[in-house]
Amino acid sequence: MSDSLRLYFKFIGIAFRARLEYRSDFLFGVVGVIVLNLTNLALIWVLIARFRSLGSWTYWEIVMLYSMWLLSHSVYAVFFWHLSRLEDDILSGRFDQYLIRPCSPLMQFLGREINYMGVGDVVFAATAFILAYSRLGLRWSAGQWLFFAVALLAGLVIETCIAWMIGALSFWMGRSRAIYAISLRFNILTQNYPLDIFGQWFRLFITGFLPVAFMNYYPLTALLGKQNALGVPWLGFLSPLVALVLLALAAFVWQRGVAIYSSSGS
Amino acid sequence: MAIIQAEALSKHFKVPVRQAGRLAAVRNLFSLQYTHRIAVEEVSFTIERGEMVGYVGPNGAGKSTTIKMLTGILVPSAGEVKVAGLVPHRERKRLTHSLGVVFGQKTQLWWDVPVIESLRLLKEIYKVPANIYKTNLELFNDVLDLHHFQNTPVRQLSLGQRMRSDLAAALLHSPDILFLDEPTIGVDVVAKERFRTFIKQLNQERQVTVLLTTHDLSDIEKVCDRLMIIDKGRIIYDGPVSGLKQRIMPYRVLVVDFADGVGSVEIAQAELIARKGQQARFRFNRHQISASELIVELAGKYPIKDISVEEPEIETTIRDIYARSAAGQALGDA
Repeated sequence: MSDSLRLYFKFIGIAFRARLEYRSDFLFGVVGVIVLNLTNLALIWVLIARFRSLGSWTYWEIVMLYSMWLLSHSVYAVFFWHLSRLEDDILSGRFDQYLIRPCSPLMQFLGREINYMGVGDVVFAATAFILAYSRLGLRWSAGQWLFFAVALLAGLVIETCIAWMIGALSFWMGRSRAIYAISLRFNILTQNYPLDIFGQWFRLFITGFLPVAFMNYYPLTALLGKQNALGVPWLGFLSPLVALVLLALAAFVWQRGVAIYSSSGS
Repeated sequence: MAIIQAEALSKHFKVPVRQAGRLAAVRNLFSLQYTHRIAVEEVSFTIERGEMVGYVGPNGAGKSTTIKMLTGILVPSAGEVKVAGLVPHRERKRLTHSLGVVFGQKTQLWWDVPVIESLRLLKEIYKVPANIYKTNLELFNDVLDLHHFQNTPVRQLSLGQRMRSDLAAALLHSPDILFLDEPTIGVDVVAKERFRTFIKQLNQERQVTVLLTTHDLSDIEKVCDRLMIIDKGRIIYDGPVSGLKQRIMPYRVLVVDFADGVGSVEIAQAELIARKGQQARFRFNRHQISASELIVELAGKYPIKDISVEEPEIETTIRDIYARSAAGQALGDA
């Protein structure tokens, strides 16, 4: 395992060097993503300036909600974004190469690329979060910070595993990017606004089926002492469990997928 | 002891049935009908350590599928397979240390970084000891001129250089077995020659077993001792390269330059296939008449300036084998 991890970082090192081959693309990408996020928050600000608040959420609470999601999402984006493009490796037959080397195909695939654009997300998310924290006048205890950190990690695992599972579907379907695009739309939609403003069916969908609400909404309502939309206070503490279940599920789907690949080829 | 053994090896794929006609695209989307496509059917062969075997066949004949089963990428539908004493699809990871694979159509190097970076990473992946890494790099420098382009990103290499880099990548961990799938595709004559010399040297010095698939039959003629021909998933020829022409192609072509003034020419046991000015080409079956008999007979009837005998090209030979296999004729001595 530690050996795999060591190799993974060597892979990432090469992927990073490859990215730097295209320097200006790198810089434009990072700056572009920051501008994109600013636009996003500006839109929410316009909405709130008109309606005072969204549900029971003030502007800075929403900034915190958004930046909490973005913190997890950005790390996912830097390291795992290409999970949604697994189909390319399967269709082009590059996946064959992973199978003729003495290390894990998953590690080779994950180590193949890093996505610099996510770096802009990280910078933006951290800044926005710090601003929101001070504007809301919060004073979290060590325990609360620990919970926050665990929730961030869980959020990372949740988003990664959703993408991983959908990516692995291409072992059966050839392509699965359309499904990923849909899930990403849902994901982004919910992260821009608190769950309170949506109808009941959508709340249940985002909680039970595509559980992205566990990335930020439920843990943050617990941290801010707010009532969550389903009125079940302990949901906020369920994030790590949701993450573990998804991890097991995704690993299973992946394993089945690789088995299918070796019986059907590309 | 045999290093590669395949016994009644088969691979069938399940492919969706494509329908034609109105709204076919939409109907295909929801169709649950499948059919079985036979890629490889009951293929058996044994390859000894140090053999160099050519593996040819038309597109879609089952070459790549066979190689994928030998490397453990694909699980066979039926039959037994053993490579270096291991069952590939069950002990895939262990087997990788004995295998070097070059897929000519796609590189296994990292596209945007210098070649040497890829090799350094492969050294880590295969845990190649420092001294072996060094010896191998020296060999690659000597024979493949690797040092001339090792600091160039792969995307900027010529096809020939890329093929050499891929060979280096496949051989870095000193495998016993080398699978080459169309390695010389698109590569120029000089680079091909270099490739052939290198493979032969490797085979002599290290006893590396080579299985080579290619569309360039001169690769096979110059490198391999043995040839296997696959067509429609079945092996239709397995034997020495050198004997192939003699046994399969009994026809030779006699090219004769007649002296000026010789008009139409006719001879019993040879067929006139071309006449251009004073030069005529006769095709004859060497089992019916020998070249010398034919020459004597011709020279007795007509004044001759020059004469030569042409062997059939190996390509013609193999085309002939495909054709006969398609016609359901048995192979063997004609």
